[in-house]
Amino acid sequence: MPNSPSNRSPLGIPQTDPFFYVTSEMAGMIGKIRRISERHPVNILVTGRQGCGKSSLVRQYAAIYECPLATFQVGVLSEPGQLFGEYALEEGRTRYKQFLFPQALQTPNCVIHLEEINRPENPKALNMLFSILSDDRQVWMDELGTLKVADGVVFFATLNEGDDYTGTEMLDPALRDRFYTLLMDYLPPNVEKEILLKKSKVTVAQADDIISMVNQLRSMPELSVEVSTRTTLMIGEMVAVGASLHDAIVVSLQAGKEELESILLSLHFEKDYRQTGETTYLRLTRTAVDTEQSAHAQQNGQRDLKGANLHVP
Amino acid sequence: MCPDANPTTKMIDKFCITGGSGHSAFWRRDTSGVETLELSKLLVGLRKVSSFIGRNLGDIVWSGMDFRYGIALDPSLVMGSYPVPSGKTDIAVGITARLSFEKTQWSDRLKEIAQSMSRDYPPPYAYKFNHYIDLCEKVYLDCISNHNVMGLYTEAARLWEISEKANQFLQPPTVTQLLHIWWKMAADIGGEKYKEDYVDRTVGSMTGKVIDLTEIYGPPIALLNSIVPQLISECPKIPGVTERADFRLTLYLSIWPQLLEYIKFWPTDRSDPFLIPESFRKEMEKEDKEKEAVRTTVVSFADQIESAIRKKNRDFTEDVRSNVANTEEVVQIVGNDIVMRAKDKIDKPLMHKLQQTIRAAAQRRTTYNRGLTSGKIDRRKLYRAKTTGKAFLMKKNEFELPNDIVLIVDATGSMADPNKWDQSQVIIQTLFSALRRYNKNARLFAYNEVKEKCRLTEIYSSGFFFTVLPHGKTASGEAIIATALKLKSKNKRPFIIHITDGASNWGCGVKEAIAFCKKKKISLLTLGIGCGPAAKTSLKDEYGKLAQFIDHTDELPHLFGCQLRDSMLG
Repeated sequence: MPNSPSNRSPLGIPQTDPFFYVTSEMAGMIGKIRRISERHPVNILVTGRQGCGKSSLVRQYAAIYECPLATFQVGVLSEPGQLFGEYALEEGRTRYKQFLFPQALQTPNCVIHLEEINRPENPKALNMLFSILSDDRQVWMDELGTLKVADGVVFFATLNEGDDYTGTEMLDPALRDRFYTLLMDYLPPNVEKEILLKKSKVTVAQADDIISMVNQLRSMPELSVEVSTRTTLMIGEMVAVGASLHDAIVVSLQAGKEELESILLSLHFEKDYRQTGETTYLRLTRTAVDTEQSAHAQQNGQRDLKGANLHVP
Repeated sequence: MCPDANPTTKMIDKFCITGGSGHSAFWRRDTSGVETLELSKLLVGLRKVSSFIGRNLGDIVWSGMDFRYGIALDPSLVMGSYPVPSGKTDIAVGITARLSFEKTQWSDRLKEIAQSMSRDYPPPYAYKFNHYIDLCEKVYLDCISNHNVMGLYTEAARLWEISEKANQFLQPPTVTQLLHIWWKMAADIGGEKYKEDYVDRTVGSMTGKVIDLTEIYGPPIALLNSIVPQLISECPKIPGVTERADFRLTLYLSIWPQLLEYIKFWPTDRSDPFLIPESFRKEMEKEDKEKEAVRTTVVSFADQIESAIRKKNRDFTEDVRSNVANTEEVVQIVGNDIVMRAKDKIDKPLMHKLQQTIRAAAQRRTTYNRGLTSGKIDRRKLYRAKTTGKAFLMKKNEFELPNDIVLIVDATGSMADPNKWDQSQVIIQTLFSALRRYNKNARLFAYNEVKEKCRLTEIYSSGFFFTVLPHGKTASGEAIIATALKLKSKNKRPFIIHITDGASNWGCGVKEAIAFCKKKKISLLTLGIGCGPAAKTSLKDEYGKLAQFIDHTDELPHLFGCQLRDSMLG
């Protein structure tokens, strides 16, 4: 049956993101990688700070060239061979269950995404990748035989590297040597604003406020807070559904209470952001949530959850 | 809290914290419902607020807590319900802001000069004069706070203080009432009220007769308002703080004779020593006793508040003294949390080599996750194959050092050479990063000397490296003992690695530290970096076999690995 689970390929082609921006240099490099991959498999290492678009770049590459994409979390690997499969019991007999990785390896033009390649639980878990990523492009396994990397396969490995990841396990130099390296960084404010407008559906005025506040946070290095593009989008989505900028920041920034207090104090006293409020505790029911939502929407002049326009003061 | 109960279900739907809304709701996140914790967290918040006003304000504490120089705040305002409501927090922030501005604008100096002048006045006038100067300064300080959002808080504090004081006003006209009315007008956040004429809007009086104070207070308030434009606009433009204070004093004195003519026969307040009847004196004594009771309450848990705030800045001197034989030579050693973010100086190839070295010395701990439906075959659970099928396991190897490692770095004057300090930062950050991979409890400290105190600073926290300025004399003995005292007793066998470039030249000496570590079964290793021949000899004399020397960073992995293995085998 054409649509039975056994016939359907688990490797899908992702959808193109219409609002994914890179530098022209990066775009040129993507084209060149594609051309090299037409001759033989290629290894690309994408590094950058968290939330700057590394995984999105991999997905976008697969989407624009209509290649199947398979993503693997290298960080959870604790033993060699764990990417390939493991033993399981079927009808009273042990059987080697093959994982997606061998299938992806042998799928022509597949994009294989190895996430957090620098953080396996056991460094030896990466040992089997050496021969796959080297000129050999094949590996032998007792359970599966010889696995050859198919034509056109591109390996994308991503890892977080930057000033704040000084303690991160360094990628084995022998492994790193096999990769081209693409460095990603945060986008400039005007590009970030465009993405914010299109993806989170905020208004222009709201986008300006958000970008202004995010840039102010980034300009205060003493606060040690990273505001990535991902965080900016999270703030935008919150604001779009009626949250105030203050509330959106509080839930979107990954900071402890004391650190958050310092951040908000800086915004309040140095940048003159204000919001009065008082603390109440409510019994959490659907009615209470809807009432609060309406009250917030009235305050901020936004649409409520049901879509009706409320009074704009 | 005022609970709001649903009459049908009899369940409480809503709790409000009485105290009103406030601007501090924007930033106050770290709160607690426990009294001591909430007072300490609020105090931390107030200290952060004062840091936006200026430096050198001293310690900001609640009245009753120990401090030498700084600001003592009355906690009675915020005590009662916890977390402290935003409205009350706003008032506390406003009071803190004004007292902080007093420090930065040298109001105390101005008041001292004014007091010395008032000695020439007859006592009733002197009392009025000091009162007048005090209020003038309050007006000025509130006006400068109005330049930014701080004005919102000083306004809250001002309105609260005026309403509290109004309960104690005598039958008008009084000097105190006059000055407070002026304060409210002149320091208004809009910055325009002082331009208006005073109109009495009070209703009735204490004796029941309607008294219109417009004519009585109007002229002196107009006189007082005449100096406000200069306070708002001209005084802040003067660059020097002493010049600003002199300018203000001259300004206040310029209208004093004329003001005195209006107020010379008016009473001041209930504290006016020349006017206090017996009943007022008793009430004041009662109020003072109540305030003292609150202060006593704070004193009784001042230690708890202190410990909730200051976990790092302990004074270790007495503890060190009680653990050495040579007590006379022990110098003062305190904790310190004034640090700067350090640049990333990790040498990654070196860290990779160190990690391999440390891993070789680490103990392997294998954990098994058994009873899985897939994975590796678990030979011990094969009997389940026919039943549940959970005959598989997942094996995970973890490598851990058997000791808890603490690095303590010499940051004294001998390390002040920029190249030397840079090199030591590379070694410290690289070594610590490698160690942390195999010991999650690893800690990093630095010690230096400032103003005759040895300061112990933790320079790694929450994933970030910090640094201090290398300065002063080397009290290695005290630093090692204080570090050992900081270690928690539930630690694995502690291992202190002392990184230095020379022998101790201050304090009780290293022999005391070595003896202490031996007594507490703490392993101690000293790494000498960038040592000259003389320094090496001195270190050898002090530490004996416990000292090793590194002349080049390449030597570190091998040397450190040998030391680690020897100490763990020993």
